[in-house]
Amino acid sequence: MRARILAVLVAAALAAAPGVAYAEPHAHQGHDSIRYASIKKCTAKTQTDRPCGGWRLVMHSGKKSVLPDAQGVALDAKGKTLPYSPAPIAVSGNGQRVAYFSKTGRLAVRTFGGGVKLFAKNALPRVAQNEMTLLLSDDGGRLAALIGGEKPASTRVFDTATGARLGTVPADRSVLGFSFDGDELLTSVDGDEPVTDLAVYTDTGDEVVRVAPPQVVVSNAPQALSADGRTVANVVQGAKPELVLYDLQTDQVTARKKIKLPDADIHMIDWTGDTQVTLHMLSGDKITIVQIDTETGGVTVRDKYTLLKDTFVFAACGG
Amino acid sequence: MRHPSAIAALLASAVIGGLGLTPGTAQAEAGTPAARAAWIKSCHDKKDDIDHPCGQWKLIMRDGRQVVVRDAAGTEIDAKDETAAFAISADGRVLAYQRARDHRLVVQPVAGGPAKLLPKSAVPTGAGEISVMLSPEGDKVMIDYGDEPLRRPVKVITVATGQTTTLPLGDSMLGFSGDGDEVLTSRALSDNTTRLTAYRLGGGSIKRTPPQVVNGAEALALAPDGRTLAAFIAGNPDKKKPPRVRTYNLASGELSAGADLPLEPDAVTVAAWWSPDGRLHATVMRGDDGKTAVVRVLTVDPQSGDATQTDRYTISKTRYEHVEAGE
Repeated sequence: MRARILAVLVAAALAAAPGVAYAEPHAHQGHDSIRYASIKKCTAKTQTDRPCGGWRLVMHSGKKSVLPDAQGVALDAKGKTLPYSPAPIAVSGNGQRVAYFSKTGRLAVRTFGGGVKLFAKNALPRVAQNEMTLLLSDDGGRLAALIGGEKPASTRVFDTATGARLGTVPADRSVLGFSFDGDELLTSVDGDEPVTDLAVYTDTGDEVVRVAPPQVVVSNAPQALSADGRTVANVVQGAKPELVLYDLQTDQVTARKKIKLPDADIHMIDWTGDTQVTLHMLSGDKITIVQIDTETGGVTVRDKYTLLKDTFVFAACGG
Repeated sequence: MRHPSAIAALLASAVIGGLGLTPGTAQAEAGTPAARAAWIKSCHDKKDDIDHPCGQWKLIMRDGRQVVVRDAAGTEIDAKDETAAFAISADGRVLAYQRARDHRLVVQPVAGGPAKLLPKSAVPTGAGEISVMLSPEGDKVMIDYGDEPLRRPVKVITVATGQTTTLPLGDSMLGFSGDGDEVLTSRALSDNTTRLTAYRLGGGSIKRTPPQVVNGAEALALAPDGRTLAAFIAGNPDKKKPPRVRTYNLASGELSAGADLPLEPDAVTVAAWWSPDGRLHATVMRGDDGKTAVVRVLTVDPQSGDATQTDRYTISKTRYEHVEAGE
């Protein structure tokens, strides 16, 4: 029922804004997609900001809608409200899928123009929702549920079409994201010596490679994994920004390219093609999305927007 | 200060004729006064609720005596919560400290004899907290002024001649090579990496951005060849992993596989150095703040990790700060 309402809302939004030109929201999309999800900020008498209401989706077309079946404010393991924490949400890189907790506490993945996949009740252990983080692959085909908090548990990787669990990644690996094709996950893990290793896992939970990369790779987070499952991209910020490409299999920095970036902090980095890396950059409440050609170092601005003023926290699409 | 008379004896036993050092001898022979470490007591200020250094620097001598260094400032000018600079050469025979009355730098043989007053410019007015290191045999002193309140380049002064080498602004001192002919520095680069440089004091340098494990080492020591580094890597008590030693060649970038040291995981390497004869030494410590510290001096095989204990001593639980020979 709620799903149908949302579908109607989105359809209406599309109908109301036909023919409006947008600067290539996603090169591979011909229709509207999610820019980001936002939850409203309320200020209590105690002056402490808190999230309130439900998760809102803001589309590339500028239309807003509410995810009516999504849990907005986090619940603890017993189902009690955690008033200062939003429940987790994730938007796929292509802006077509969103993962969240339903109001009945089930893991859910909604596809635009499609339905909602509700996951099994026991898909995740009963832990407080604010101790979980959700990540979707670029096309939304894979979902990772990270379980942190005082007793971190292994990350669970799901096929979002079937809801089936494909594998797990050990709890001490911090999952940084999926490879562009969604087949692998990039993780970081403390070495036995005081170093940070990067390790790649398949979506079925097998370790592919683990290595302690050079300083320039680990000192300039965030990092993203290419569809090839071995090339990591990261960006040196500051006065002389550079794109760094690093091959995990050979332990070699394969390229350092000088690039020109807007004056903003890097919020997210993702591969969005075989030779394209996309950055979400944040300055105050303004987001700039740039695409970097990994062969030429050329940078183009794909999108710019200002977050809803009353945003407590937001989750952008990755790609 | 268990033997008050020892101070007078130490400082009165003036030896005429320079520093009285024997080149090529790493360890002091029996009978030659040598310091293992220096420490300064902690006092609690009830009004401000802070611990601060108080009293004066005390030497822990190799023969077990404790000796107050009366001429040395305990704290920095106008900053009673910051200890004044203090260093002991790796061979334990030479001290560097700030003179109590004006905070100028002094280099003083432990055996007594004339103290060498370094030029006034070695501690510029308003320098605030500075750090000093001595070469393994105490013939050179290196001064790091930090970034605040004055940003000044690191200086290396040959004590006997006053000859001064000024390093590039922005380099931080890490130590001397085993023969004292080179110094090792680190520099934070704009790409958020740290680069190491070995400077030959006679001119020339080797620079390299080392791997994470070298950059994260607890102590680094530059060999007499001026290019081989020993990296002492902290243990991991949670994983019950002991500290390790690796070698890293600044010229070639070659990193050894590393070897475990025969130490407890929580043993901290507080100082590491090579003696001029090419042997590697490390001073390791156990004991949290407020507890007696147990300090051991080791000779270490940098490839196998085999270690021989050459000395062991304790430092009072009332310490605020301590400086080991070679640190």
